[in-house]
Amino acid sequence: MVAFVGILIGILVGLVWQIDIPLRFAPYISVAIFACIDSIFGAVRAKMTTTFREDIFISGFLGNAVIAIFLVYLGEKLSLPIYLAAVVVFGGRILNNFASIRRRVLEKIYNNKG
Amino acid sequence: MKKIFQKFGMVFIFAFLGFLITYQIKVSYLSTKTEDNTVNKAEILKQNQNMQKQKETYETKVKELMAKIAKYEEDLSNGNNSTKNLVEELQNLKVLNGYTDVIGEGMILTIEPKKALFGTQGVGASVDSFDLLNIVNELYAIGSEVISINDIRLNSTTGIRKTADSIRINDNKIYPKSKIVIKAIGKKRDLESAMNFPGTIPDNLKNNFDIAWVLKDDIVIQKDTSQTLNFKYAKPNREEK
Repeated sequence: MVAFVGILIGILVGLVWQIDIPLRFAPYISVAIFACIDSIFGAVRAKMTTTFREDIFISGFLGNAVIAIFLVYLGEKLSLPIYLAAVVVFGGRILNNFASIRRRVLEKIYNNKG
Repeated sequence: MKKIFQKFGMVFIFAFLGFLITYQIKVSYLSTKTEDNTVNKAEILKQNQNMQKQKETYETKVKELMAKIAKYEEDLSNGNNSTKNLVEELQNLKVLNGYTDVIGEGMILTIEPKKALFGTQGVGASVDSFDLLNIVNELYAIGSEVISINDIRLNSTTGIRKTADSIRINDNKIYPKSKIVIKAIGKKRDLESAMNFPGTIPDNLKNNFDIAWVLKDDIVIQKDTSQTLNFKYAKPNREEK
């Protein structure tokens, strides 16, 4: 519920607020979004295993985004696509977490039927 | 108290994510949509004036041509053989100079800016006049007979050059950040092979634009009577042997 409210507020702000972020920051935003999505998948998984803690989620969410943005910045300075490292790691983690979530959801469904 | 702060933190974080995603989608959507709107109003007014002038010129030229055609047809009906040849020659010259619509087999090449949701590759990239020149040159070299760029027909005196914010072809402008369509009439298989040949499509276009082509049997290229193909300085050499 909290997540939905937050997302809705964010979408509304994004639609209404005519902020002009320079185009050169687009890669930073892309990688930050990827990091945030990774944190959300991690949180969903933790919620299912009842190990979810809000403080860990919030710090992970912001921390991942900051590190991802830093990697993009460093990559730009060194002329190396370092951000790919973040993209690969986050991508792998998202898929792993999704696999785990899927397994648990299916187990729950089968248990309820049985 | 701690719980409330954590809830607010969660709302803030998801709001932040929602904002980032919305913003990124908005930027990606606008960057493709507003490319055509970058032309300022003064320029649109100027273009409008030019187009009105062009329209008047077209109308007078069309009237002249219609009168000529009527005269030729009259002559033809009299069965004069030399007039018949003259008309055929005139028709041929009209095709060569772009004064008549042409139809035939060929290729339609589309160059469109990449739509990137994530990352910036291709966003804001523009087509260079030399890129277009290169493609046109290759198409002519492989045997293309008639070529148009965004329905601007190329003729023997056409120049393609860069101006401040556009590419000028004849008296028309095309915008290097918007979609460009090149139509070429010629043997379609040859035209396709030219496209597949390394170097025909410059790297700038390959990396930053979506390039696609279709082969067709009935490509129509409109006439262009806006160009006056009269030479001021070059005269026929009467002493030629």
